[in-house]
Amino acid sequence: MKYTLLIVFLLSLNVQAQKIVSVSRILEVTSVSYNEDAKDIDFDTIPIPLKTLNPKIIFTNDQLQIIDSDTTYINLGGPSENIEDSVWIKSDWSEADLSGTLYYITYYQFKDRNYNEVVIMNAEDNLGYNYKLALLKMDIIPTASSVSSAAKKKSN
Amino acid sequence: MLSENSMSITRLAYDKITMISQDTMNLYLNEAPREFEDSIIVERIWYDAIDDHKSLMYVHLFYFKNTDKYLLRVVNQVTDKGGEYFLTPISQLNPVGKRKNK
Repeated sequence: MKYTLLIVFLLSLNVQAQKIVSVSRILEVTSVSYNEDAKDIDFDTIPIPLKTLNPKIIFTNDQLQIIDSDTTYINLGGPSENIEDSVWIKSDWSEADLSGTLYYITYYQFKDRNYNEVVIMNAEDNLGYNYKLALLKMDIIPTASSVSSAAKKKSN
Repeated sequence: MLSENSMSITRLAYDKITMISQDTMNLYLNEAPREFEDSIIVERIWYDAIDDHKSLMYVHLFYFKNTDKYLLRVVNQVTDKGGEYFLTPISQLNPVGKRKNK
């Protein structure tokens, strides 16, 4: 009984820990590779076909989930290093992990475009993918309860 | 989950609208919608939605505050043809991430 309670408690902690930060529609995927000579990323221009019409990327506080028919889980491995300029907010994770392989992840949130991009690069072979993303908003369907709570907030 | 009549249902979600009436039609909402609200109505507009055949669609969702009912307008952007669906809520799930803790 004690162990059951402990397991339930630990599971509830895990659920609370994994908080969804954003959900985005995948608009396009292209291959990328790191060019050692130029010290920059080469972007392929030919899109890779998506498997479904409902592909998504979910950022949680500690994980990135790529959902397109199947789901790929990438553990972010720590907080991001953020750089902001006039064009974008760039977030870097340099210790991400996909099934024991080290990955670099860079998330670009563009200020003047209606899409974002995330580059996921295998640190061993310097190959990866660039995902063009449109941010989706959850809780967007109005309901009687959501409208009344919004009205209450306004009145306060 | 919302019902248009006793035989057909429409499921509204933030990323997909599913209309089930004999066959099933999906509308994939590819962006965050434009939002308008006044004292009577809440309006959401998706300009980049696609259907199962990848046809580009406009999707307008109107929520009438006084009657607690919806109007869904779906228009094919190429043909400018579409339909309007009047919907009555039959159940509303707790929004994602807002589950009540017991």
